[in-house]
Amino acid sequence: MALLDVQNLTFSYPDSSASALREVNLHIEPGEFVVICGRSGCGKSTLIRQFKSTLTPHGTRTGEIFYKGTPLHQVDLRTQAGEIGFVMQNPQQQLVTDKVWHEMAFGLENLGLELGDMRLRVAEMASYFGLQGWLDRKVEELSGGEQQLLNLASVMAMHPQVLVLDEPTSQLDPMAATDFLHTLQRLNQQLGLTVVVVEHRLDQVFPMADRVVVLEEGKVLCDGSPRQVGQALAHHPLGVCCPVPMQIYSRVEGGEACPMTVKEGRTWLEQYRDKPQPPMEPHAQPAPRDFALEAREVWFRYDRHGADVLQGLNLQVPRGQLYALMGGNGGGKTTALSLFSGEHRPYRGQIRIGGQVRKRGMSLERGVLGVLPQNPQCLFVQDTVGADLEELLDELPLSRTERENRLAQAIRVTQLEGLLGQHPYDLSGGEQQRAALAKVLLLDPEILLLDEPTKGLDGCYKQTLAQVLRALTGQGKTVFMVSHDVEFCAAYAHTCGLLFRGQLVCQKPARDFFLGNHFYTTAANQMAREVFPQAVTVEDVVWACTQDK
Amino acid sequence: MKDEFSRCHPGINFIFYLLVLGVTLFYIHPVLLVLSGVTAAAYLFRLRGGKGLVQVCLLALPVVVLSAVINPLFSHQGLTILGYLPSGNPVTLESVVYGLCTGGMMGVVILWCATWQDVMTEDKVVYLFGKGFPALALIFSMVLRFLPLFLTQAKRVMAAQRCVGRDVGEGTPWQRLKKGVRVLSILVTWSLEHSVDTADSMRARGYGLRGRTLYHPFRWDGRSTALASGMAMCFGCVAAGVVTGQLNMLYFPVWQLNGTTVPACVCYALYGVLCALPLILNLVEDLKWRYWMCKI
Repeated sequence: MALLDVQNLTFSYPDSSASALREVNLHIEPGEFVVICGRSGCGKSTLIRQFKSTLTPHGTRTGEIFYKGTPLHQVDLRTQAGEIGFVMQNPQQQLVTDKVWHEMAFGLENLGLELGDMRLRVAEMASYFGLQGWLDRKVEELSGGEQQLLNLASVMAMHPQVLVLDEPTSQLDPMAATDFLHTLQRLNQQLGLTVVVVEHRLDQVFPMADRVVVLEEGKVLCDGSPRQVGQALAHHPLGVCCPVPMQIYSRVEGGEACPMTVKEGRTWLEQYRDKPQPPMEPHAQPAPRDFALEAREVWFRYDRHGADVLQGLNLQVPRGQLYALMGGNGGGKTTALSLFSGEHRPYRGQIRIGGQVRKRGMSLERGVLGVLPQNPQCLFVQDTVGADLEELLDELPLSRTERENRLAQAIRVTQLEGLLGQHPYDLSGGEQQRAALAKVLLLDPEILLLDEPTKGLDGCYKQTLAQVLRALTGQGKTVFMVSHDVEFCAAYAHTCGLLFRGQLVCQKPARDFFLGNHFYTTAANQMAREVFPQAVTVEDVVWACTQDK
Repeated sequence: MKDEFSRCHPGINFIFYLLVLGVTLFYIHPVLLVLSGVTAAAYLFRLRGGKGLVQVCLLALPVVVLSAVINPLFSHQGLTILGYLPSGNPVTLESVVYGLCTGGMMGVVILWCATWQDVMTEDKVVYLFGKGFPALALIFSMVLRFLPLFLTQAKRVMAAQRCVGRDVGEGTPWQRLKKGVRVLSILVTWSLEHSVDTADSMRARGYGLRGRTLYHPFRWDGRSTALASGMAMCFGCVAAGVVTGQLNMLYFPVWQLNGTTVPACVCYALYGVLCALPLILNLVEDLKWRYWMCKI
């Protein structure tokens, strides 16, 4: 008997004519790991919110959902609360109480458990998730990844039969996201827990999943094993979210024996070993002499007695390029950005902006620098995107036509046309980011500073962002970004730098940068390293494979 | 540094403050005040170090001095006349002493309250008083969760406004006010958004089901019983001393302290032990560890 059985489910929101879900059929067996994916607005969240009566949005519904054979609305709320665990997107906003131990016990208190039982369950879950050391801490002291792990642990303490997660990693940095997904996999494999997860990091969840369900416009587009779905998605916009080996395979030959991991991909690529290798076109760039941003022997620390975060940083950002500064957590990337933006000042060394030494009190208003904060949502102050943009323009000393030109240009570059009437908080992560970017662009900055711009974006939004950034560098603007996202930087950045312990250990044009690295490199490069040593991106490998076919 | 007293059961902490603050507040006796004051200062030093102690003392000392100066200006009871005010009213030794003692009492209470802040954390308060009002206790916990979050978000929004050249701290007062109101209004929207998510998360985890219980990580053990009875015994002796007149303090018409009899000294000693309980617990723990380390 299926654990969750969705039969002919159609759902529409009260004030909309189109159905959010149409004739959805889905059977989830006990112990399955099911990934639900689709582009934003396809009804993923609407669907999984039907799995729990208290979270179901208002609207008209036909069809039925069965939980262990009983219609869900007849299952009492206590059983639902305990047995169907639900983890949402935003780690912070799900936390109810102030202390870690209280948060873990919150659900158990609601179920009315005895103190002894609660102690045991909290102890079990804290040990399983390795939270023993934090129990006495305040929840706000935890990082985003730790908070989401706490949310998971608090739901797990209620001993659910099925775990439903709504984009749990979209607010996390890549390392924390990987950790979180591996924890899910561990729960699934060690405890046999049924997991239903909405996720856009398909490259990471595909190897874990038993089944993948793709939704499009409220309908099930395909439902099958990851390999089958990978094939089906080959020419779909969602294809760019699939694991890199899958993308390459489906574009080179296509078929059933699709590789999912780098390991499988290497084995498959062996057949191309003896193929005569066409020489890669050299990406010769003239050595740039004009630098938009420059750090010379910069030293910085936050505390007088603290450790140095930057230790003699030397960094040059050529004008008109997209520069990506990479490196692990705590390496000083964001600190370097804050020195360029003027939020902090180095205690030794120079920061040069456009060739001039930054002096105290030089503000952003001169139209040289634009900074996009890591959380773009913080930038909005009005009820609609359009009003938000116009409101900023009102205070700039510009003529009417100039204003209209700037507004039109910013909207065009960031592809915001259809979104101007919406509330900024209702936009998806990628749309919010573009709206925020448009706001920064209204100031017409020469140099843009971006902090983790791809955080939480799915593959489609990343492509759009890349187009936007391309358009900007095409206009001669300089973009400096701090990022963890190897694939994105490899595909779109001009120059990459690697920061480690406060020093720049490597700074090269993107291709040379990734060819020179062994571990800190793209999946495509890791996969094709032996066969095509010059290939860095998916495009490169596909090109090399299909050269003389 | 770990504080052994803070790690005791919240009940022990609360009984301790109830007894010590009770005696200090309601029985103004110079010797007991000095005992209470010295131990409070020493404990505060242990908790916050010299700098923290000085900070609190800077707050407490003016209270003592003010009270000692103001009381004789308005109270003219007492027989020992030290001099006359310009208005012709006498300044008496008794009213100076009384002013000093009430001021001292307030100063000592301030010191103890400073230690209360460090010892009685919110979760302990919720545990102690939440049993009668579970919903209130949860709200308290949620407020404690929400306030820092709101402040962080406010800081983020203001930092983000700086990114588009709109520093809230810049411009004329009118401009600043305008920017401030704008930030506040978006923060209200954000709070509403936030509370929708939090409410979902609460319902998803079964909030609102009947028969909610309370979890707490505290355990009342034999040591707690021993400590509680020890404190009760010390307090009982002091109370007995007061009732039988062994401890006695008369301010008016002539100030008069009880004699240093053996029972009075025993009461002093026991009260000293009561007040010094946090220090004693820490001392015992320190010694134990030093001894242990030697053995290891």
